[in-house]
Amino acid sequence: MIAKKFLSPVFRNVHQRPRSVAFLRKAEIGNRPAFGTMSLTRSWALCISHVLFLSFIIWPSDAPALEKYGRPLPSLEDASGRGAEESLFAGYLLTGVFASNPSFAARPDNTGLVGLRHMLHLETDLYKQYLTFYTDQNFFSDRTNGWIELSEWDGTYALTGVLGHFNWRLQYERDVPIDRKGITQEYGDGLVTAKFQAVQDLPGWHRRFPNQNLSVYAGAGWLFHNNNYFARPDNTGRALFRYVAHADLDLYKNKIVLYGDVNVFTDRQAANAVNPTELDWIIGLAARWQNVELAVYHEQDQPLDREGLVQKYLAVQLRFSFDISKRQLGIGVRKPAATVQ
Amino acid sequence: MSCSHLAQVREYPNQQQMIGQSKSKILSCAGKPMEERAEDKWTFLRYYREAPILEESRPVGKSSFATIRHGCWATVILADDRIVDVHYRFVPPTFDASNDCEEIFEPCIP
Repeated sequence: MIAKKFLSPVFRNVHQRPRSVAFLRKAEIGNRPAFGTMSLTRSWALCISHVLFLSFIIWPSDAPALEKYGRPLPSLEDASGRGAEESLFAGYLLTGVFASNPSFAARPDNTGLVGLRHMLHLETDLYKQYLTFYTDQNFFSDRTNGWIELSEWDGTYALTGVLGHFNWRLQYERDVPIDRKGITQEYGDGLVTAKFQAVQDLPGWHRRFPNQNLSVYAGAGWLFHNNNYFARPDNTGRALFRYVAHADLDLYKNKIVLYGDVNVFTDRQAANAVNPTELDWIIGLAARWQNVELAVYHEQDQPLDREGLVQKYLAVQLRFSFDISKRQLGIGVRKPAATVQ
Repeated sequence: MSCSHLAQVREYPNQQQMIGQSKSKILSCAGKPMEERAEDKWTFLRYYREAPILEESRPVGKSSFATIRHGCWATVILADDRIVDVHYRFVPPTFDASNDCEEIFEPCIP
């Protein structure tokens, strides 16, 4: 009866596709009680204020819908979340070869030249998209010392989260030499970025480019803790602020992606502490197939306020991803509901 | 009324092409759903796809930048063994994850 009550006006004639779509759209955007998953109160509150919007997202309430319909409508329970499909932890293994490297150093003290890079990325959502922990463990080898033996270990630990179009991050990074004693670089920083996604934020993009997308984020950060994290590629100065920008141009269904990244540092020891002193930029092309990505990219780190060492390389890298959902470990899996006939 | 924070759910090519297909066809190409329910003459198949982490986290410099884990629920509604509608819902609702729902039905498209 439940399905009949709310779906029969839609599917009275299954060939009336436009009407059906319009109904579903209405339900998706605002008139959610049509499918019984959100209350009118919630829909109304969404557009009253952003604060209320966030409150309802954090504490969704299905109670009024349950009262009205007696129980949740089929197939849309927990539709605002991922339930057992939510990732418990995910990450990737990366291995790359610096095919051409005239100057990118293999240790924090700028000695050697990187030959290989290996990295493990691990992340887990602590609370939905609002609070995520991730770590990166990066290892580099020195091509001037046989390519294989590791020469540098960079460990990163971060908390991050998303609120609407804004992303925040608190990160600690420590770069240490492995095969000999030398300088250790470390910092703690806070970063806020704003994100733009063409398919979502540009009216008409989806219609014109159904298989393409452009994602951009940009923002600024503050290195509130800095122990030897330099402000130029020649290891001079001390970084204070960073300005970042990143763009992913999805050329075809997220399978071929052209990307660019810019990272600018300032020097806390300079006369003007907000004046850029180092520019690190990357441009790359990535091709993905299932859980594998092959990328070719170029990075160049150069000083901005004076002449000095420029570090650059061209690398080819492979990434293999893994993702363990709660369902795979039997967490949060509901017992199959009885079929109603 | 509209709220700019919510990503708009539109119509999508793969979604549209599923209309009229049989249940056996979708089960063979899209696989077993996360959930299946039947009520009266309606059958609901619920699929989910989480965006690959390769899309969401990218190594930059000597670390990485993580954005947002996201995914998409696709609810397939059947009557008399034929698909009469396919409904997408993004998770979180503020992120357009239509490409993930479309990917669910990619093997079904000739």
